[in-house]
Amino acid sequence: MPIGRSQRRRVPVSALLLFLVGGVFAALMPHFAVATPPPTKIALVGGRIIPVRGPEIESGTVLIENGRITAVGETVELPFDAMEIDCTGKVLFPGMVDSFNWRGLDIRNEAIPNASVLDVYDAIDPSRLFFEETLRVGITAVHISHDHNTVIGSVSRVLRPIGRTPDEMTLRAPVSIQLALTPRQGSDRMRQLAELREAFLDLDDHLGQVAERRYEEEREKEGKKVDVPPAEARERGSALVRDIDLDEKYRNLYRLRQGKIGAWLYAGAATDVAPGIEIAKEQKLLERAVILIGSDAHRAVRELKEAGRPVVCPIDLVARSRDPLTGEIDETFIPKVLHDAGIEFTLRPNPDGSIAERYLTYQAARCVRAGIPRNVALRAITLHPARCLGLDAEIGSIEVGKRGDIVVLSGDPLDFTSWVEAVYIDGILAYDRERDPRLRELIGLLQSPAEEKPESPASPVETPADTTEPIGDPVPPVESGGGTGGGEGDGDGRDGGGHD
Amino acid sequence: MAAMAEGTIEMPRLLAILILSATCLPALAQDDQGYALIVGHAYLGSGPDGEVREVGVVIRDGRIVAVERDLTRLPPALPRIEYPDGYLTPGLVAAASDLGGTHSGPESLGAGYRAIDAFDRYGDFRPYLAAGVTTVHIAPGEHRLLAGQGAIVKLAGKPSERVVSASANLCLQLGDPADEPPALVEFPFPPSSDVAIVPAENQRPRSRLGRLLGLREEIAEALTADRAPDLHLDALATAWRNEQPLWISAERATDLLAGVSLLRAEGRAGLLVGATEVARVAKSIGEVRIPVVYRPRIAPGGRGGDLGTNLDAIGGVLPDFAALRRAGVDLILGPPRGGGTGDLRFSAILAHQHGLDRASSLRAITDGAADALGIGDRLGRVAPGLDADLVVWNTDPLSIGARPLEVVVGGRRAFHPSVVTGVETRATVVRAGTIWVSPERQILGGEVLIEDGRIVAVGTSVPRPPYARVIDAGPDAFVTPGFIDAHGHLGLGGDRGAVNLDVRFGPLLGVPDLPEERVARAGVTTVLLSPYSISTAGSPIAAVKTWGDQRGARLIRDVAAVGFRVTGDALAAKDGIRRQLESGKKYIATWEKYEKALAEFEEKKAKGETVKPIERVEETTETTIDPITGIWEGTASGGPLPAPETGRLSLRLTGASIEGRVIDPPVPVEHRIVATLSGTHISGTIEVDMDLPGLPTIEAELTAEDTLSGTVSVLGFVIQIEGHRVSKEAAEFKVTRRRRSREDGRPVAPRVDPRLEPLRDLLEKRIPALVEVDGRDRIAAILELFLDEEKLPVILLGGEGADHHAGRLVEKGVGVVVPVGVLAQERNRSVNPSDRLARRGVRIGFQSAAEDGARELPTRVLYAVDQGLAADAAIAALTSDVARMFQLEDRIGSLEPGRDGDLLIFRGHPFRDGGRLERVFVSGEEVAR
Repeated sequence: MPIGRSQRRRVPVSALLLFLVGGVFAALMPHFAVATPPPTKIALVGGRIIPVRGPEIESGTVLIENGRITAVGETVELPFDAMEIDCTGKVLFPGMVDSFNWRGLDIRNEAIPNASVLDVYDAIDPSRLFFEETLRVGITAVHISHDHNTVIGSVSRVLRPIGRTPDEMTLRAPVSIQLALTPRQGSDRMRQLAELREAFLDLDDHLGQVAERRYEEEREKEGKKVDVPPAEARERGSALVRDIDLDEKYRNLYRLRQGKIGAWLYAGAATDVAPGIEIAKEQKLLERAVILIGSDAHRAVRELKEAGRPVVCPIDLVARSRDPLTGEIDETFIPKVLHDAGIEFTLRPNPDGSIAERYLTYQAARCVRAGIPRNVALRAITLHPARCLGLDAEIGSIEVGKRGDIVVLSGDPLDFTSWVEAVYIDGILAYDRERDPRLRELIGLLQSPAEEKPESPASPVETPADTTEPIGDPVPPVESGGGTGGGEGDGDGRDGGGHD
Repeated sequence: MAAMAEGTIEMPRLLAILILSATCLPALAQDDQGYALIVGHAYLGSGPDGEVREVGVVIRDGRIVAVERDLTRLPPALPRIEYPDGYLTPGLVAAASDLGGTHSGPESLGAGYRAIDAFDRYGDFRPYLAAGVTTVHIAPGEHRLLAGQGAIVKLAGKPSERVVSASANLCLQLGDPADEPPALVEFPFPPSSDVAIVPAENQRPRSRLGRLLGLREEIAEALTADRAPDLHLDALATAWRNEQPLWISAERATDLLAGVSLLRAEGRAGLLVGATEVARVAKSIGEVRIPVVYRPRIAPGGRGGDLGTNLDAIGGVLPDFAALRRAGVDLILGPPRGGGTGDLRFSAILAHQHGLDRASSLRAITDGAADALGIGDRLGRVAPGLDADLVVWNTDPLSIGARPLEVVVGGRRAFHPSVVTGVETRATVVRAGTIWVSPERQILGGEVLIEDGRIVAVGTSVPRPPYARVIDAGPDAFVTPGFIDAHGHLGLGGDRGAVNLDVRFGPLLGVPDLPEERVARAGVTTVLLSPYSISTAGSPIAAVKTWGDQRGARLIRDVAAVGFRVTGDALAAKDGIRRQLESGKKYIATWEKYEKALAEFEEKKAKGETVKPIERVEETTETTIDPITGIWEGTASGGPLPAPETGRLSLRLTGASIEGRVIDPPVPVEHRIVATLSGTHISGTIEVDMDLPGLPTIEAELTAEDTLSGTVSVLGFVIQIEGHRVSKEAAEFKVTRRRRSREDGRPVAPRVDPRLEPLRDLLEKRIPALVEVDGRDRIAAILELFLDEEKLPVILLGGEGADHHAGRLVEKGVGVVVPVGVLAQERNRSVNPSDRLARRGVRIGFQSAAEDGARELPTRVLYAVDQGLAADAAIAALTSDVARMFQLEDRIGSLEPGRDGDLLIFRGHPFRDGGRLERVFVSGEEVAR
């Protein structure tokens, strides 16, 4: 694809431009959602509300004040200054949560096995098309982390798919560090586990040394000499250790163990589950751990159940195994296995799969087809991922007190002919399908010349002054699937309009 | 389940049982009661009672609770799984394997690497289980001086139960691979001026000298108090303090001795692995009783390694294992270096071939290996209290080609060949002292391979397909083809009705019932099925098996012969048969004509010529009153009748043939009117079940509607008959005139006549005629007709007086099925016709002339032998002779490759003193014993 290559080279330039002229751009473009001071009170009125937790409301209102949901119900008394938005015939759904994704970073993985010293903050590229695609499919929070080709991953964070800088985008940081049980490339399980154990052993060693030093310092302050054996000194000094005393190399791991950073265990295969749980128990992380599984690990369903921790499904929901004797291929739908075992699971979009699999709603619909109850499937793309990220008090459902993250859908979320009309993040209109330039351009290209008539002078409806809306046509539903076909994958440098 | 709970399970049900047990085994294992595995031979573990015959192992809750040599002591209600031909061993234990892989860490001394981490507890190890290996030692590699901690695992069972020992020993390498490990490099991170760049740290050993030194240094450091925590040193210290055994890889003699000295100096248990050059230091090793896990340096499935002229090359030849044992080496065998873990048994075969005795070879891959690994109290033997990890082999596990029929781990089925083959094992190898292939060929000490119901090979040694059932019947066993009853009625169920040539027995065959089972169990595997009374006009005779689960499998040939009965006057009888043959010839002629026309048509068409229809007769359908069918009242007069007799006939017209019988007055004998209608002329015969010289014939004419007149000729008399129809039950029928050729000139095939088809086969010499005939003159007439005039194959049934024609019979190869009675009275003297004929070289067969009475056929033949018949001639008379007379020798009657797998296993010669039938196989399936 020669076009793709040339565009790829162009990316840094465009990214740079965006950063350089960002401020100016914002000033000049009052339509730009983030730049505009948002209305403090908005009311979404008349839509069917699927709150995910609690009963559905056939026709109701969601009131968002200062970014938080303040009322949900069939009839809500609205403040006089609330901006009313008519959602009749629409469906209001919580903003969906992508529980784990490396896209949006400049590289998939760092080269060093123990990357806990690093933070994804430094690798986030807000210009990635990935964020735009994410927003377009109704995802309002993405957990960005390096991928599994590691031993100990970098510090991850949860981002909003909108904003110009990582700081502006960040919803929660730090979130987690990934401990990978499955060997990284070029390694093996023995080495992987030895490195993992060694890392914590080194941390202990370092903490001991710091504690000893701190104890000495404290004694010196008091003008006394250290009069206990080193082991004793370490123990006495352990309470005196401060974050700042630690070597940078160990700081994040220390915070992980202290519970300030979450632990995500990656078990790519069934045999990795038990050692993962064992290490998590040793390090007293299990109560906080989230288990991310690969396409074979569901076979360890009994151990997963015993661990009692939320499980994040692999992006490919179907596991395939080959019988070594007969060569027959066996297929298993992973979420069903987890659900049947009573495990709370989370779904992820599959940017490597079909276009449909990039939609969390499609992944949920597959679960329903496999026999999983609808409400469980819907929670697996909203509330469950929010809980994995420790954000279940903030996002993941339409409830009073939560953030005003609402997706306005044209129909039921599990109906594949439904599309995302609008996305509100903290009560701010972050995405409006009517004003999605890339989608419009794409659909415009697909449309026959006859449909471009409104642009001709014969149509008096449009005021020429309003240049932001050159095409007034409602977007035909048929094209809705094509709207996100712009490659949610690697995203960078790919341009929705350049697909033809 | 119910079937399994009852007493013994008989062999032929094995198939069903096996399928059942596939589902039952896991269920049984959960049962508190457990189950018993009963196997014909077993190796229980080294000791005086190592190899035993017939043993019952009671398994409950995954463990062996009892091992009974006396099967009567097994709890009677216990479900049983039986392998009477199987060979039981403990699940094989591989004291070394490549299953763990090799860790990629750089440390030369890395006690922190654990092989158990590399073990996939969810893995599907059935390829190894299929080779009988159930327990394996895994090492974290053999590439470092101290590679890490070894583990012992089972290859089946619940993931949580697979680990026997997560940290079983420390794995050392004292050979060349340990040398020159990579230098330890620590990359400065974060890369800044604050972080010093440390030079790479070289590790020991660089040479043999550094190996033990490096090890001792490391141990000393690990045991130092107050050192900084370190993954590898901590692990080493723990293992060392726990006195873990040392699993030492060493190939060369020097390195083996270094291993010995290390173990002795440190006073530790351990074992030496690899040990290619063990023979050179056998004495030193034998003295200290350190187990040696010998791994042949051979790639059984791969390319041979070249050693060239390099004197230092390792592993030229296999050692003399007997000498090793004499030197006192505790010899364990590991999988070959170049093969997979599944080739463990192959190592034992190699060792056995190179001088290791049976007991030591078996021990080296079972209890010996378990003891060396320190798990002998749990695995490696068939003994009460140990884990129920067992393998049932199809034959002696030390014989080449042995395969497991059942692998049980923790009391549950872990592997069964049906997984591989898709079906239950269809191949059977029978080994016996004598194989009676045919009268011309007997093999002493031979084998027969039956696959998919057919004999595939026979000889002193035959191929062994994987997972074949092997039946070693022993040196005194005598194997013959299945016996053939040359004339029987099995399955007719007493139906004595006349059977015409249009009848086929095939569709009447069912699943074998009790009578069939009785006959089959007596060794009679094939019956030439004849009607009770063979018609003078010809009857079909079928060749059927007495056993088989499907009709298709039971039927050998639907019409294997055309039977004729000859009674009364020789010449009249001869004419009768000839007339039948003539109609057959006409039938053949119509077909030949058609084929010729077709050939011409094809030829012309190929040339592109247009073919004129030969004769175009419009296809018409007209409705006609059936002129015959109904009840006729008639009068017979003249001839011997003193006064005209009146009576009623029932006639039925089908096509052009008429069938009917007399309904009034009642006729005491079975009879049937068979005639044909051509135009208004009726001609035919009256078939009567009486000894008449020639059948009565009818010639009549339809003189008017519903009126006929004509004659019946009987015994030279002519009787006038007149009749008229009193009732027309049947009605109208359609006459369809067929065109002789199609529109395009293609000739139309004649109608296939089931009544005449057997005659066509006979005339074309594909099947013989079986003529039931007695008496010297009649036999002469029949032989004249068949041998001289028509030149057709013929068999004589009964054949009293056939010995007068013995010369001709031998010359023409005509067989005689001797009378039912073994002895005949001739001039007030008892004679044995079978002996008399056989002695002159006539092919003979025996007949039961009964249904399940055929079960007594072998006994009667034994009596015939007692009365003078040669014992081998008796076997031939029950097998090959009959098969040859009926032209069935391509299917039955011998054990040559390609024949059906019908065979009998006798203890001793079947017709000599003490001969006893033990097992019966029909189409490769065993009939209940």
